[in-house]
Amino acid sequence: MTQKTLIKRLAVLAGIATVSIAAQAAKTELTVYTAIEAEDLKKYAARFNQEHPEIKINWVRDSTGIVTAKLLAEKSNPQADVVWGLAATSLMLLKNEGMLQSYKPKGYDALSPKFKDLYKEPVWTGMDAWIAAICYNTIEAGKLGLPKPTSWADLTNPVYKDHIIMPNPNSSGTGFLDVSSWLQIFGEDGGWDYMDGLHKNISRYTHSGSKPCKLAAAGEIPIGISFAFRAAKSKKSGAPLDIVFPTEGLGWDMEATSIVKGTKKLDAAKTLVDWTISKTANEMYNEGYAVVAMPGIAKPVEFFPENAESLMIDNDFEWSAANRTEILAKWQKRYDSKSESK
Amino acid sequence: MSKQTYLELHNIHQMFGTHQALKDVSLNVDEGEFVCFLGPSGCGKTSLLRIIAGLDTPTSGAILQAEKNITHSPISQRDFGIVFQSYALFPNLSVADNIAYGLVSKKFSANDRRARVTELLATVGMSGSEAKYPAQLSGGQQQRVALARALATSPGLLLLDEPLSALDARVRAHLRQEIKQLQEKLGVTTIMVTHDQEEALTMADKIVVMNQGVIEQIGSPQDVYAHPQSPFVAEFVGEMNFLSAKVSGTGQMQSGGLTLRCDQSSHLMFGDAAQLAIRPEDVRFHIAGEKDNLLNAKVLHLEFLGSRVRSLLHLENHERPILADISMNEMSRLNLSQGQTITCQLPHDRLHVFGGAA
Amino acid sequence: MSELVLTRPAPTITKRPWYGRRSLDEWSLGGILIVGVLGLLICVVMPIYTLLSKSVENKDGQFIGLANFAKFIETPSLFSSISNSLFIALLSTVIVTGLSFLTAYAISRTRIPLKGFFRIVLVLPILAPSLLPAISLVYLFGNQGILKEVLMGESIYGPIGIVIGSCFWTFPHALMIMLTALANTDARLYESAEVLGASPMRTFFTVTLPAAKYGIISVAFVVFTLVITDFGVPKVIGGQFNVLATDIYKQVIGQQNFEMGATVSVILLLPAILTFITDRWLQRRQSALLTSKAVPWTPPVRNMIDKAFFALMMLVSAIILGVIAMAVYASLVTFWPYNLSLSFKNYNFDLMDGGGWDSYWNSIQMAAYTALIGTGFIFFQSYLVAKLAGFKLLKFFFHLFAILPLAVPGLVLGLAYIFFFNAPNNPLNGIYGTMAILVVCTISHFYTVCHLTATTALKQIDPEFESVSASLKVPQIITFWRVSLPVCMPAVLDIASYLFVNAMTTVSAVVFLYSYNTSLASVAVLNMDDAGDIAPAAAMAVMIMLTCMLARLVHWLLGNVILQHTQHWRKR
Repeated sequence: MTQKTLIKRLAVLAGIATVSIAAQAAKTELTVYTAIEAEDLKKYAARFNQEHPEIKINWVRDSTGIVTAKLLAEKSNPQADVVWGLAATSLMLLKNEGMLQSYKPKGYDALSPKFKDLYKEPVWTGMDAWIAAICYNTIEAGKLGLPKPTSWADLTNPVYKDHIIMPNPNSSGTGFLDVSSWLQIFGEDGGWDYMDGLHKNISRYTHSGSKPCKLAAAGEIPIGISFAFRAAKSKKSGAPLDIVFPTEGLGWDMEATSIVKGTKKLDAAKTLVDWTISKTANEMYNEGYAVVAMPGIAKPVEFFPENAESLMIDNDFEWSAANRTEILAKWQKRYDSKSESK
Repeated sequence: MSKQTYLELHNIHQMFGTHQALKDVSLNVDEGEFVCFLGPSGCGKTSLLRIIAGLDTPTSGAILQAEKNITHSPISQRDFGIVFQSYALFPNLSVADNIAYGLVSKKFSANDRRARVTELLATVGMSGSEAKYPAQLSGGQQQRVALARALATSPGLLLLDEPLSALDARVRAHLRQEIKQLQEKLGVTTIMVTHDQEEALTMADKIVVMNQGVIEQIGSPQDVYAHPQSPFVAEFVGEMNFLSAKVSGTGQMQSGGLTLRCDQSSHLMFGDAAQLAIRPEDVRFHIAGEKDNLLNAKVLHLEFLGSRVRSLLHLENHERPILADISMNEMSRLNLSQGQTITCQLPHDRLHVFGGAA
Repeated sequence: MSELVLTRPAPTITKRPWYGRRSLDEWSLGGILIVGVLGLLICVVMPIYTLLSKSVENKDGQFIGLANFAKFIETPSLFSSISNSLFIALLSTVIVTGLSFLTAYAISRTRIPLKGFFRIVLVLPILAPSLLPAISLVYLFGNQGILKEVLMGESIYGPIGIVIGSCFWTFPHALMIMLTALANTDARLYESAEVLGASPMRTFFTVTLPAAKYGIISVAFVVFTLVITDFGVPKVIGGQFNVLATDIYKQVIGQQNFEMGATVSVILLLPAILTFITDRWLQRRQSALLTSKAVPWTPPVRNMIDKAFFALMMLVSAIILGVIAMAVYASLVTFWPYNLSLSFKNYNFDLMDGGGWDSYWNSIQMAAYTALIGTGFIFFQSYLVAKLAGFKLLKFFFHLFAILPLAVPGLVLGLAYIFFFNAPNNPLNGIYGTMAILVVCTISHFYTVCHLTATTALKQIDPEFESVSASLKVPQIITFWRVSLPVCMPAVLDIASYLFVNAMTTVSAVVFLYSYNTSLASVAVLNMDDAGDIAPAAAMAVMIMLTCMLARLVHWLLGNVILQHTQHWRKR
């Protein structure tokens, strides 16, 4: 072996070592707070890692209200780098607290305006819409002789007494979008009147937005106020459900993405947020959600109405976000202890 | 003193809170000597042993072992072996492992250890028990193993804390002899704590009688028995009858209206209150030609004790009855019966005189 | 007296060496004891102190006196929780105390057959998380429950469900105390009563009941505390019936309102501390009651009574087995109630909330660490407290700190850990969100029982072992290793098994401390139920129960088979 070849080989070895160390070092870990359904989490991370294997996602998942509360509580010492998949109303609230980093991701202009933060320096970007729906168990309703409701107003019919379950808006994003949509549909006073009536029929309020539909699917309760994604999934898995989209219009919220101000991994965070509005990501969202941020992508989703987008109310997110705390406090005072107000 | 002093205790005081367990205890132990600390429970004898072992610290005072001050030495730097009342044999170790326990840290080789264990077992008369576990041994056997373990490292001082009290009477009597013989053979300085005066009398070269934290008397067994220096010692070692009396002249005591002759009363003044004491076996009956110290007594009760008969006597003019032991031979001559009145003698050379009222 | 030392002047007392009269050996063990005291100070005392101070502070950490408590009382929904909690706890206490007395009586004072079987079945609930009975109740009495009609229109979601669920999981705890209380009665008292001509009824009221009095009071307090501080059962089956424990959970987890959480915690601490004091007091009384001369009592043949008790035992066993079987069955049903074919679909945890199978493996890991590290630390520290000479003050504090966790409900401890370990200025805040904090918290939570078990076992071995080994110049640590540890092996196994099972089943403390990467099986049960995945929740609860059964089996094998074969010295 000549000296030259030895040096060459050593150089190659050194090169390999350097590259592999570099690859190791480049593996950035991002702490991502989310309220995305648990069953989708692995899929979302895997799809992202197909294109960006150098970034590892550490999920912190809980229901919308809790993730929001957690972010607020950590205001002075934020733990999250990115929020991916939290209700836009929550993100607006956080924005007002000055906790989010303004960033205009690549491809931002291609999104439909409904899904954009319309300020000059946008801080959040919409992903998909998640819309309210009523899960109606045909078998159990049949046994009890309950008619199928078609509108929100129907649900205050005394015939449904103790046969409806809905999520607690304090913890569940679905619960909050229901409440905020009723306040918009029926007007502020009308909305609270409506909820007073509905409250009389509610069997109990659940912690999560999925649970009412899952309980309806299992026949534990005939009617669960939940959201379309969960309703479609449950129906697909064989539950005797009819999914009702009330005629007054559907409350909705978007799942959205943002970077948390003060993150030490801004570049990786930007890479992730860029990807979350990409075409691939939008196609992925469309596997479960009928309405997504990028126009022209959405294909019909099984058990969703074809005209889903047109059923959605004209939601004033700014108003919802601004009044969120107040609404929730009022709601809690009126309805939180079911045993009390009975 | 021909022998060399091995252990010296100087003015040991021990306080537990406000309770004074030991008061100014000083003592010398000679090399090769067998010393018994004798006293009732709570007298401080165990506290003293624990201080010598280093298990407790004296409040003040000093301890010298082989002329080295060990008052503040940790246990591990002292030179002694100890056997506790409970034996404290390690239940999960075999007899051999128990005995060799202290040898391991002394860097004995495995072969030397085995040889030493065999030798020790032979010494305590338990050859061949190496593989047994403590739970498979009788109390007496456990005691021997504990002794062998304590002796394994050839300590200069052997401490025995009530070693025989957990055994039944026959085994106890037997082991007494064995321990004493072993101690003599090995010549190891030994301190034994006991509350059993018989044990102390049979085994010790020197008895240290203790009461309420102070040493009452130090002496040979014969000395302590024959010449008790206080009513406590008199009563605790052997049995003793007490009569209250008053000094009525040189060598004379007034007790219950009678004048009794006695020896030693030099330290008492005329008119002082005193106690006269006599051991049950020293009371005499059937006295031909004797004139001194005769009393009329009524037999209240007779108790058969095998080799002798114990009688309870009511002396004339005395409220407290006394005990008198009569040998079977004498009994057959006297033929005492309950209720009988008899004359007895309290021989003047057997009367002990203690100052102070009863 | 020539014997008295008067001839030589007493030597002046030499100065103590710098390390006092202890050997370096003893000093190093003392050093470990200091580490132990500091450990308990950091892991038990300081978190609780932080919690107490939080309850009188506002969000920004300013002292505001009792304002939080005033706010609590003014909030009607929160305040009504107090009466709800009291109602639930009192009712459960009455039921469990009565039932555990009767069953313990049947085991120790009658001649019913199958006692061994009953002893195993009746303590089974201790191997399952407290959520299991609650979930099972949903399937038994829920709207789709197979026994729904039994409730005659009443809903299981509410006080009925909470009381049944609470009774189920607290029962074994009560039974074990009651068995101890009833086991210790002196046969001579019964013989005297019989000789004096007392009727069986009178004997029961004058002999049996008074002797078990302290046991009964103790059970009542323990059950009351367990129920009032548990939030698992009310969370699953409570519906809209709010209790204090769920309030804390809602305040802290739901609204991240830590100050109010701390306030409610302090209120929950009161009954726990009262129980603790009463229990200590009772134990002192109880021990004075027993004499060493007590003679074991053999129950007489009483046909009617034995039959009645046998029927009761069968009923209670059937209920316990029924509840467990229901959970197992529900976990295997493909889609309740519409597709009753059996499958393992619900065991596919990875598609659910709660962390999937990872959380199960995390739990195993956490329980194993807790058992290993916890047993090692607890037993060795208890050894030092019991057997190391001196260090009296240190031992006093150690004992005090070691007893304290008994008075702190898990919920309160978990919250205290957030406050203490998540503080930015705490140098230990690196362990927040890791497996380490879960292990530390679990060990601390269950410290007292283990400490007392170890202490009791150590007190039973000869106190002179250490003196003997010191006189033989053997370092104490070697005697610990060669003698004390092997002799106490059964107690060590008890502690390890106790810690493992509790680490698997506990929810209350760790629910505040897990992170996404360290989610636990027991918490997953809660979260899956929360998300409406009730059958998978049942499946996970069943997995936990099976794991605990396996752990107990291993414990039994180690204790009864291996120890017996390898340690013949135990046999006579």
